[in-house]
Amino acid sequence: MANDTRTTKNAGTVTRRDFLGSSASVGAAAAAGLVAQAASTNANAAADAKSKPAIRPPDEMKTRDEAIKPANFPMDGAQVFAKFCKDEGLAALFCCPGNYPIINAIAAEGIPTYGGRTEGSMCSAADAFSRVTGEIAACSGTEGPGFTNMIMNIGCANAARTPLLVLASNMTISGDDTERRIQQAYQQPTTEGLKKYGKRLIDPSRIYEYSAYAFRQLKTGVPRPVHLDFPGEVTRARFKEPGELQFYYDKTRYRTESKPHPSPADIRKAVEMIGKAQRPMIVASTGVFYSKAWDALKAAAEKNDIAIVESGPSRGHFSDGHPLSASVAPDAMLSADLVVLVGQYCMPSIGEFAFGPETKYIRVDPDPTDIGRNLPIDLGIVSCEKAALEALADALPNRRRPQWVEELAKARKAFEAENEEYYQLGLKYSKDTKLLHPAVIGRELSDFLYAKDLPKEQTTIAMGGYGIARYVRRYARAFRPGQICNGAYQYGAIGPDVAYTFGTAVAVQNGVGPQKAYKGAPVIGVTGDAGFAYSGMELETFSKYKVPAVIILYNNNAWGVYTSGRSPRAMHMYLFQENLRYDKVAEGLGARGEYVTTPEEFRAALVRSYDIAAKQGVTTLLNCQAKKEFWSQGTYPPGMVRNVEPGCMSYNH
Amino acid sequence: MLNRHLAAAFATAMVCMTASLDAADSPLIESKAAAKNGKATYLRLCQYCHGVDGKAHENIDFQATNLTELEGWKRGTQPQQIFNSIKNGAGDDMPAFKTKATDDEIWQLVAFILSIGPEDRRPKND
Repeated sequence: MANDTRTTKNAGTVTRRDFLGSSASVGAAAAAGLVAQAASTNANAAADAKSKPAIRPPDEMKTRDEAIKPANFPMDGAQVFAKFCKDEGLAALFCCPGNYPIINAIAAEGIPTYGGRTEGSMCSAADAFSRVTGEIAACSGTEGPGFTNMIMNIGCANAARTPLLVLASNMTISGDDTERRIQQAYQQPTTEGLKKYGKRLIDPSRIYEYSAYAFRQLKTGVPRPVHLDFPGEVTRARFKEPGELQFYYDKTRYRTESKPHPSPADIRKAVEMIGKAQRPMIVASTGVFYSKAWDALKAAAEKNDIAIVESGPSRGHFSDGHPLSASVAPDAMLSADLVVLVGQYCMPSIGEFAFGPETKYIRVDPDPTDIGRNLPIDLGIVSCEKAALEALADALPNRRRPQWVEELAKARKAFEAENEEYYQLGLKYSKDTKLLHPAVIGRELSDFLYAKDLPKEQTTIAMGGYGIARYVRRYARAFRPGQICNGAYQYGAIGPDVAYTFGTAVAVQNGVGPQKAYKGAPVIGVTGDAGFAYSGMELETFSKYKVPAVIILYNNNAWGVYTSGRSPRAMHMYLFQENLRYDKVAEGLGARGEYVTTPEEFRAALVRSYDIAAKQGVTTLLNCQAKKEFWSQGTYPPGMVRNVEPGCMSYNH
Repeated sequence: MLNRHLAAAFATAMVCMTASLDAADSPLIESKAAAKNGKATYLRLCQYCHGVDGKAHENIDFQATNLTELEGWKRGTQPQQIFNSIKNGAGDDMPAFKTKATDDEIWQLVAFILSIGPEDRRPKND
């Protein structure tokens, strides 16, 4: 560990009790510990302390703990909106300054708020927060540049079907089209195709009504981003009493909690089809997570010995450790004769999922307009996922399928054998090159998280990167809901990785939804050197808020697609300078950094960094030096490993 | 006896007609049924990079080969060469599939790949 004086002497693994204790003490000592944090989080600053000012969080961080001040009439438009969000259970806001009345009012209501370095990253942090909690989060930015900085990230959330509330200020109604002052942009057309619903609010008296429009969309059916933009006349309008607001009804009257339930005839037909099948499999996807249907899923699977394979932007709603899990059994897919797609919002086309050509399909989805798209169905069931799985669990007969269960076990064993083969190759390549092969990173991480002292359900991973993810996905496991945020899912963006890790870490730090039992635990982030450029500055946000994580950066000096640089004159466009010190960037932003090049160094640094994250709330960037040629199957087979979907390797669908 | 001679002559003629078939090539590459079976394997193993239609227009990972045109094939266009590329991998990007498919499945795959290429290379036998 170069130039780092902060190595903990008693570095070792940390149990849940350790981190819960440390979390509590961190909270209690938050104010007093700021100076200590500064000293412990930046070695270079410590070394230069005599002559240069040290990196430290602002004193104002203390004021986050001040009493909540909920607004009451008379209120301005922003306060009406913020109060509405609080009442609807908005779980967090991630933003950059701009849209001042709204973000200030949301903070005043006591909704957890976080300010980061770019609007796009904050948008992705909110996205990841939802992906690992199932709850609604918001992002916000200023008009024009702040808003357009979020576009790629809104695209990611849209592809992942995240219930993301996108907020932005947008000049004034009176100034429309004039280019008066600066930052004018037509926001709603810009998010066309990237959202479920959007509205520029132009009538101040309807701000409550349109808030209801927004949350109806966010809380029903298939989720996607909702985008509201606020002109100044709306956020600053004054309302003395409720009568001045249109459609001012309680949430029990402006929306319903009722969900679509399956028809009994459809369930009878599904039970009949499952009964005839020898090797039935459920693809448990996005809708299973958001409808919190994991108990119903398990009940249905266990009653009839139905295999379960996961897909989607988050993993863990069916444990990889269950004997019926096919998420780490890719060879089993081909032999499934009946597949029940549940909540598979992002539909694959024929051939994209590794099922056989004769496989029959049942699709369960709350949206009838999507059933039958891309993949011909044998039965479509319009229903909330949870309701359908509960109905199936009730209606299915008890049945054991020992042969199928044995096939699943064999397929899992074959996958583990393949992973072991890659690991052994990786060790050899690492030894030969004195650089870290990605299979070694994946396997060593897996051993640390699941095979040693940590409870295997404890650590949540924000899975990112490009080539590195192809390997780490094979070794990462999910044993409970929301344990893996599948970063690049569907939109294929690698840039938000550090931001995804931040949103994931905030969710765990606050113990939201399925993260409750692991409140305060450090999270793991995975990224590559290409992806890091887009959201790496958020390491500063980790440090500012003392949100603990260990971020693994795979540094192979190139874009993951470098093999496409076929002509000698083109190759330079695919490459970076070699051996860049991203770890020093981390140190410069108030986090820790370590630079590792061998399996032994990686192993020790992982243990040390996790320990420091758990005990001190300090995030570390592990800069893992590799080489681009590890992606060449000709030179270092298997090179860029193949994806098989659905299952643990899924990220297309 | 005459019929037996005719049959032998017919068989010889058939071999001559399929002159592109090397001695090591499998007869499966001339079979439409094999090509149909090969499509299932193709969808499972190949379409991720080469696309559902073989044109590789949608691969964002790297520039995979367009299997419907012979230009740009870097490891040879003959059936045995295609077989070898599938079985043992090719170049930086194409992995080996020898543990994912049997030799017969790979030959069926070759038949399918020929079936989406130029007319004169397509399997002819029912």
